Order: sequence, then structure tokens, then C-alpha cells
Amino acid sequence: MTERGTILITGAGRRVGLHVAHSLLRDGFGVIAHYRSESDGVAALRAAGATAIQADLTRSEELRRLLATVTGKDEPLRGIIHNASLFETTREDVDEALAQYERFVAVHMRAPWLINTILAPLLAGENDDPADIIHITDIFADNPNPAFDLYCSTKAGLQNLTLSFAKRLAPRVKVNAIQPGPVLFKDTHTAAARERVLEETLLGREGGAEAIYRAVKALLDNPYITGASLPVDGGRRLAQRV
Amino acid sequence: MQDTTALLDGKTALVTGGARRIGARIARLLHAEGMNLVLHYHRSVHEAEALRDELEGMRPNSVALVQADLLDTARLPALAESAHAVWGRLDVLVNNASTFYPTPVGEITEAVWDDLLGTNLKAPLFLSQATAPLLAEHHGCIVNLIDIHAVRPLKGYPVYSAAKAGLYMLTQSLARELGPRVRVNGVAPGAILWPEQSENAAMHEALIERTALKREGSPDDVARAVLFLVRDAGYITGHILPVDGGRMLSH
Repeated sequence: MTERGTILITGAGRRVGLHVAHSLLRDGFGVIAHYRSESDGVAALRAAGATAIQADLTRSEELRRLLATVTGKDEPLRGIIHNASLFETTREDVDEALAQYERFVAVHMRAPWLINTILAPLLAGENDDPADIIHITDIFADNPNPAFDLYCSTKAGLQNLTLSFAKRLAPRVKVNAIQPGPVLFKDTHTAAARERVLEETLLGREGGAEAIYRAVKALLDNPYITGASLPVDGGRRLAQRV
Repeated sequence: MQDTTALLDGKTALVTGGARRIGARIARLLHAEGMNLVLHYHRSVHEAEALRDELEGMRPNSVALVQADLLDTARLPALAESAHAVWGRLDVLVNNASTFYPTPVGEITEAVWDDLLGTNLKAPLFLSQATAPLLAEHHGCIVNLIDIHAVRPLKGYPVYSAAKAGLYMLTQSLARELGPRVRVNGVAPGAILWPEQSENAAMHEALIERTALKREGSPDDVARAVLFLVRDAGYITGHILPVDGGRMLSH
């Protein structure tokens, strides 16, 4: 265990999760990095000192195995960051959409609920120095895009769980949500789509993964913020016309 | 991958009501980050001078004082210009100055309305308007000190609560008006510093009981949130960050 404590982060194999995991290591935290698929990013995290654990969070037995591995270490945790996420438009075929819904519920709601519930006793918080749980949700949790209705509604579920866990685990643990906007486009975003999205922000640019890490760090460093939502969206939620 | 937020060394912040209490704590933290300060005060001349002397003892030529009654709206453009003139730049405006007292319905006068709306809403607007072109020169930002009672009314304080609600919306509105060159955010403290007027201990305890984290916050917690919004929140605008120990959860 490191001086600053160990943080479990899900979905750490790529993109924002990978950046946050590396940044935590750099800043002196120990990191348990959950990932779904092996990648160069996961290998680099291991090389940098992270404990990497593979699991497909849609599979109960793999989620249970992840939890058993973490509890088996019998070490206190400084925090948990729920970053794992599935981002897809809703399928047109109803049966496919239902299967998709089960995966979204599993990753965005069921896994965070179970992980928080099982690991809460390991969180090393005290009244004056509480531990942290951070849910990475989405600005769409408050204002959905109907083409992504399944995704948005399960992110709204995670947003709501933030408040339940903030109540349940106080005063020993702070629980907050970070709501990303257009932080890191996917390769599948066309140039036109990117431009359209950025026009909907007030700051006119992509945020970058570091913007999320800074928000994570601010929450870890502030002992008096709990039950809060922090949108990191360049002001997009305010720029949308009503 | 770094975003566009930069270190604060050599940048300038104007902090209203910066001589005492939370304002002074914010000023100290920004100063410790290397910022030069223009500290506004109204009546607290001794506290302001003592804070300036202390901070200048650590770093000479880093703090300037400016006295003003913020209700004197006509003076605010000159206040903005003079804050800019000290070091030739202005990067951050912290609208912290505030008046706070009960206004029971039936006894509300136009004078208390003018005072509470004046300090908590009108002055932040006109000071933001006056500083906006100066802040825009260096991609600066504004941080407004709001209150969780902007969204949940404080019993006995309807005028104050409405003024802070106005400042809450003004924060979002100005984010829209001043982006992308100037970011505008707020901090909404809960129970941080018990007002100096003595209130009864039972009320204080009841308030702590309604706070999820079961304790009072410190001015440091608020100052740290302000520093985050100034230094590390280059992709956040129009947001009001509650620093309330989870008090909003209890309603």
C-alpha cells in the first residue's frame, strides 16, 4: 500500500480511465485497475505499478471474482472510481435493444452498486478524513439524447445511486458524480459531428482526459464535498437551447 | 495530455470582501499559489492592512488594497480599472463580499432589499461587466461565492435567499455571455463559518445533525474549491459547486 492509499478504478484499460489511472500513480496513489480487454494501455499500467484485474462487468461471476480479488488483498482502499462505461446508440431491433439494456444496466448500475456495497467496509475513511467514491456519469443523465435513451437512463440510474450512497456511507465516505461532456471524441465521431457538438459548448473545444482527472483530484482533496455533481462539459448543458 | 489551465504564478486576482473570514482564506490560498492580489474591503481596514502586511512579508509587492462601498455602482468600473492597473493584468475576479441578516416577512423594508440585493447580486453583476474585457485578455475567470440557500430557502432570510438565487442564475447566464474567453463558476458553501452574531448552540447542533458529514466545514474547504475552479477547471463553466458536507442530501 502506498502512502496516499489505494484507489480502485474500473474501465482503466483505455481512454479517460487509462489517463486517470496513470495520473493517480504519478501522484502517489496505489491503483487497482479494472479492465475488460487486454491492451498496450493495460500493460503500461502494470509496468507503472498498478494491479490490473480483468473482468467483463456484464458477467456476474466475473464481477464476483473481481470483488473476491480485491477483498482478498485485505488492504484498505482510499477510494473507488466507477469509470467503466458502454456508450452506444439504442439498437433499432427491439430484441437487440433489450439485450443492450441489460448490458448497460449491468455496467452502469449493477456493478457500481455491488462494488460499493461489498467494498464499503474496506474504505479507509474517518470522520475528518473521509474516503471517496466517484461515479463518472454523463451530462446526458439530466438531459437525455433520445437516440441514446438506454444509455442515458442507466447513467441517470448511476447519478441517482450517487445520492443514495452519499447518504448511506456518510460521514465516513464522500460520494460524488462527475458528469463529462465532450471530453474525448471517439474515432467514430465524424468531423461534422465533432463540430456540431463543440458548437453546443460554451468553451468551443474538447475537454481532454486531463480535465476529468483534475475534477477527480479536486474531489479527493476536498473533505467537505459529498452528494455533488460536477459537470466537466465546457458548459454544454447550458448552451443547449430551450 | 494537459489542458489549457496554466499555473497561477504572476497572475492577478481581485477578491471582494477579502480582508476577513472566507474571503481572506481564499486570498491567502491564491497568494500562496503565486498570484498577486488586489484585496477589496469596505470597512475592515485594520484586517485588510494586517493581511497585506503579512502576505507582503512573504512576497514583497504582491498585495494591493482597494477600499470601496460596492453599493456605489458608479464606482465599479473605476475599481476594475484600478485593479487591472496595479500589475497591468487581471486574471481572476472573486465576488465574495456579501451581507447576511434575517428579514422577517412583515418587516422587510426597501432599504434592506437594496442592501442585500446590492451586495449579493447587483455588485457582482456590475463588477463582472466592468472586468469582463480585462479578464478576456488572458482567458480569465470569475468565481462567485453563492450559498446552498440559493436553491433551498433559509427560513427567516427571504431577501438574502432570493439575492443568492439571483447570483446563482447570473453565474450560469454570464457563463453563456462571456464564454469562451471567460469562464464563470460559483461555490455554494453550506455551514462553514458560524456567523459572528451569537446564535444559540442548539440551532448549531441541529444544523450539524442535518449535514451528512456531521461536522462544520472549514474556510479551507471553500478556498480549495475556489482554487480548483480557478486553476484546474479549464473545461468547467456555468457550474456552482456545493461545498456543504452533503447538506443538500438531507432535504
